[in-house]
Amino acid sequence: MAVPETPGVGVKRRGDALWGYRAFAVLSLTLLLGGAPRPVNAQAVPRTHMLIVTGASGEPRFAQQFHALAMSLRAVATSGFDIPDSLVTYLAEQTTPDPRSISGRSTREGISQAIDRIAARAAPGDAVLILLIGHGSSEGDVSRFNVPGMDISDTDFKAQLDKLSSQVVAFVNAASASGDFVKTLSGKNRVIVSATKTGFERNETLFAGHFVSAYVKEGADADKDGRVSLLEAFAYAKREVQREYESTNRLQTEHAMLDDDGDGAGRADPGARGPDGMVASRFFLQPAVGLSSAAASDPRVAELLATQSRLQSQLDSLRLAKGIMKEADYEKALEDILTKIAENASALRALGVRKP
Amino acid sequence: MSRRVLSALALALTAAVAAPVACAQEPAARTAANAQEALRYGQYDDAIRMAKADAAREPANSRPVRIHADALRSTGRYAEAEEVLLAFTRAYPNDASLWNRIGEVQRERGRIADAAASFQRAIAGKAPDSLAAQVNVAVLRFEQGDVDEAMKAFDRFIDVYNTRRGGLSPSELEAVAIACRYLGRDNPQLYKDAMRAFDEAIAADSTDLDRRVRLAELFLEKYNATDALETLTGVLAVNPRHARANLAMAQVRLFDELGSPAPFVQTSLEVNPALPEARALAAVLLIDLERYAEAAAEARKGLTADSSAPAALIALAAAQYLQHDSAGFRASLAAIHARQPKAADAEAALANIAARSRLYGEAVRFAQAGADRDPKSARALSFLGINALRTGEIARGRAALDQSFKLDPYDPWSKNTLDLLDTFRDYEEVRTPRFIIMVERKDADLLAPYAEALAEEAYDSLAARFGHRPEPPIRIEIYRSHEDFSVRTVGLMGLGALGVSFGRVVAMDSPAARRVGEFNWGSTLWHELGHVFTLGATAGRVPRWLSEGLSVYEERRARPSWGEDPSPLFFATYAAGQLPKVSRLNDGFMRPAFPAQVPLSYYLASMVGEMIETQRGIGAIRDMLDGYRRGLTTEQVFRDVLKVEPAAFDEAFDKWLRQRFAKHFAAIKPAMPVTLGGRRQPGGDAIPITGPFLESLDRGRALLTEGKVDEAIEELKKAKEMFPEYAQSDGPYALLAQAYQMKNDKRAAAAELQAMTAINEEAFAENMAAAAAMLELGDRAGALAALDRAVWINPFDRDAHLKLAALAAQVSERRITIRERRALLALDPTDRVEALYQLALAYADAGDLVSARREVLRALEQAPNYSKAQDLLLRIRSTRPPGND
Repeated sequence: MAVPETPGVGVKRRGDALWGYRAFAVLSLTLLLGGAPRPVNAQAVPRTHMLIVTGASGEPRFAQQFHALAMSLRAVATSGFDIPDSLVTYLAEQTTPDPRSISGRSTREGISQAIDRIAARAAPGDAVLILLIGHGSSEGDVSRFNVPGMDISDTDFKAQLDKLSSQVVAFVNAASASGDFVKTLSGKNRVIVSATKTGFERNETLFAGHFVSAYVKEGADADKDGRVSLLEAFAYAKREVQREYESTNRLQTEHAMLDDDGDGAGRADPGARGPDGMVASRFFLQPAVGLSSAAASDPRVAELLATQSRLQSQLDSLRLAKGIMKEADYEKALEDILTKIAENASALRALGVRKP
Repeated sequence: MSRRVLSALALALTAAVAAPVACAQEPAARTAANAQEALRYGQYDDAIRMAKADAAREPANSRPVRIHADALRSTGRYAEAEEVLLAFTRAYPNDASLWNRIGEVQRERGRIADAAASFQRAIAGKAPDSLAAQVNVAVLRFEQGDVDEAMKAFDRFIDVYNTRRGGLSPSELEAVAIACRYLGRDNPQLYKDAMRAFDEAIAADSTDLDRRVRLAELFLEKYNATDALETLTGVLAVNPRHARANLAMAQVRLFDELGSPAPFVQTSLEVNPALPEARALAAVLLIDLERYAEAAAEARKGLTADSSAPAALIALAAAQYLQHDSAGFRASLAAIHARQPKAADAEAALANIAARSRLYGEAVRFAQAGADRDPKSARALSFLGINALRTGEIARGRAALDQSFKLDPYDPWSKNTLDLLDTFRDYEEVRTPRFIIMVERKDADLLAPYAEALAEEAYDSLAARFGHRPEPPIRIEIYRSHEDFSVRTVGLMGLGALGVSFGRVVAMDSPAARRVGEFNWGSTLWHELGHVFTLGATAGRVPRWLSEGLSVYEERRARPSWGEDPSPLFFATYAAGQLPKVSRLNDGFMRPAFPAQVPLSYYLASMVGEMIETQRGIGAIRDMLDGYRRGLTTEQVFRDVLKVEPAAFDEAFDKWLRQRFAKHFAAIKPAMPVTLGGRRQPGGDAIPITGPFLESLDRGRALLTEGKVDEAIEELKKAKEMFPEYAQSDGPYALLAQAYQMKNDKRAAAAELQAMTAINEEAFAENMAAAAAMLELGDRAGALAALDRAVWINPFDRDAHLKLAALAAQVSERRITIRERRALLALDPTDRVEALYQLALAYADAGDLVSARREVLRALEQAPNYSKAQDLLLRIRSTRPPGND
């Protein structure tokens, strides 16, 4: 599948044959693609838009829980990830808990209008995250997210998402009975995540809490690149949900799925190498680490970054050969490359490049 | 050991057990209209009287003579029965109707040749029961080793059934059933035909109780206790004095653990004191109690009617074997073989008795000898398989069980164990210098490091204590589910134990098999390893009470919080005289008077060990073990090794215990008389406890509830002073901790939690709370100890490992840091890279740069740009000696 041109979302172009597998892993390579490092905050950096929706709660404890999660993600997005406050929309069952942070009520109309506003101001290539926290239901072919007033269905959302065809959209329905949203909303440049496998998993879910934790707490950044991809957040949430059910000796009643290859079939175990997981692996809320102006103009930095890219490619090639090579040979080659990468990274840090 | 194994043994003997406890009940008053009815109701004297009268009236009629003889047989008067029958045939030589019965009585008297001749006369005389005589002839041939001819004869009964099905009498149908039972040896499906033939015979004549008992015995032989129970209940409702029915009922009770078999065996023997199988079962029960001489005497009583009765001879041989009476054992075995030249019954039963006596190597040898004598003996093969597994011979065990299961697919022991063996593919074996640890693969990385270190530590400790070094490797199997552990141990589910030692093989529950707080897997492992040493030091001859007692004692010595603690119930029951004396302590394990007597006996036995070492040193314990190794009985060990009469030792121990726990005995009392209606109170919860300790505890709890915290503290302190070892969650420590927390006295609350967790080996939450409290107070050593205890209760708690790892690193406990970082990695962390990095760091801090390098490379392989890991890699490489690339 095509790799979307989404500068703020991840790395976009293949540098060589291995890029198809893990070009996304080296964040700073965005700086190399144009042939020269690019200072941070340059124009054309894609923006990230967020829509957080908490639905009808049913009980005060759920209302408090949903609100706390939404506020937690909102806070880390605006403070930690530098997403402008104006690009974050939070719709809730009631605005009274925090009128300054809650943009409006999460009615069917309110949600539609919010997506319309995002569509109106989002540039092509911008990233959009829509997160639904609450309860869902499913009946026949129709799945719904429960909101004040008339519920909003998967087909309603499909119509709305079609307005975001030039953006990369991550749609995360963390509600119960959300599984069938995947099939309905699946599409190009879209990551669709559901907390449940099907519409029949109707018990209240734990997924939302752990999904938010992936961004708020430490531990989800599996590759230690300093950012949490949507794929990492999904893997983190899925595992923590499983762990919570196990530790409380309960039968697991939710099995999260992710689809981003557009085939409408979600997977429980997506990976960066696809088929599902490739887009999600490049979808970040945190901004890419850039270079200061001084560093960007330093030829030593450029050389080191080029070396870094070359070493990374060598590492990718080596890892593909794992299992084919003799173990001892693999281990030695691995140590050699990793040592060189470490030395190179150390040199970059010495030149003020924080995260090569 | 589960009592279910006993039932298998009982089945092997085709008899049940007895203990002289209950009184046989007289049958309900029932008026028998005739001799036949009196016989049926168990009114044997009336039956004899009426039958004699009938015979006098009709001297040429054989029926009253048969009833007369059957009544005599039912009460063990076999010689008289034979004489009555022979008298008739002498008077009426042309009447062949009693020759089959005469043959049966002669067989019961062990006169096999005479029996065979009598059966032939019945056949030649075309007696009405000549078909029964034919099957009896075949049975004799089978038992005498002419198996092929016997099987041909049995096979002919299939044709008889098929050609004359509608015209067969009930006794002829029974003959077919017996033939099918034997044919089941080659084709297990024919057991079903045997049962069908029995059913048809009983449907045709439901008044014959003997036939129904034989059906019940067949049910039991095929492990169907439910139908056996139903059948026997029906029989005993008609004739409560039916000796064989009572015996079979005892077997059912053993099989399904429905209660004590003793009353039924007792009834059986009261009615028929000469019944060999009942005497054999009584002997086996005595063997269980390690009262071998009494067992031998009981078995000999089973030889009065038939001096070569196999069941009684087997029990006698077993008792002789365990008494080290080699000559007697060989003679008994030779007599059995003379009677049954090709059967493996004796070897199978001996294998089972040996296993029940923890002599697993001998069990394997007996079972193998049985399988060699009769390769089609499913039971011998089953015992061979199960005991080979117990001695660590996994491949040999599986092969034997495979063979056994083919021959007897009804055997749940073989089936369950084979199913269990199939799960072994999910396990992996971790080797240490002296152990092989088998643990479920998914938990191996987590549990094995703990088990390895503890097992090696235990080996050194226990070897030094007992002066015995078991030959490595010792196998430790840690089962993921209690059901699997139970099957591994006894072949069936439902075992209540946590672990078991078979000598050099230990099996135990994984901490994953039970809920948190149910047990401490570290102390359990130490306990079972204790058995490895006491069994090894005595060649398996240590009695259970001492082995258990020493294991519990060693647990306490290993870690202060480990091992059985005294309970209020212990002091109450001891004071009430409801725990066995030391010289009879095996009864507390093997024949508990009430369920709680077993755990209480563990503690009691551990105190015996403590007393002996306190007063005489560890050398005395070693000498005792050596005495058992030399074959001494417990009485002999007391006399010859400890130089004290058993009764005197009992008295000395009682005095010592009452002194050691003087304030406990003063503070805890049985609340009511311990005897009710002339019988001992069954114990457990049924023994209410009172006394100052519980009164203070109750008052303290109530005051705390009322918010009178200071008064509560005073009261609870009194309770603690009276019984400082009571550290359960409802005890003074927990309540005092709560009270101090209410007063915001964190230091005092932490001290209570610390004291509680230093005693209670299962208090996970309290250990975690204690660690947190002590950390807050800056007591890092105390916190470390609490967390270390916690992971032996619940190794799956990530938080405990995380805190312990961090704390251990802070206080430079590098071995613990590494262990905990490994545990965190094994718990499949979400942030695996970080876990690998932390482990690498722990290795590096401990100076193990090779391991550190390995782990940091694993981290960087997944996250090559992880700067902290990069730095660590560079640091490791910078310390590497030149040229060592």
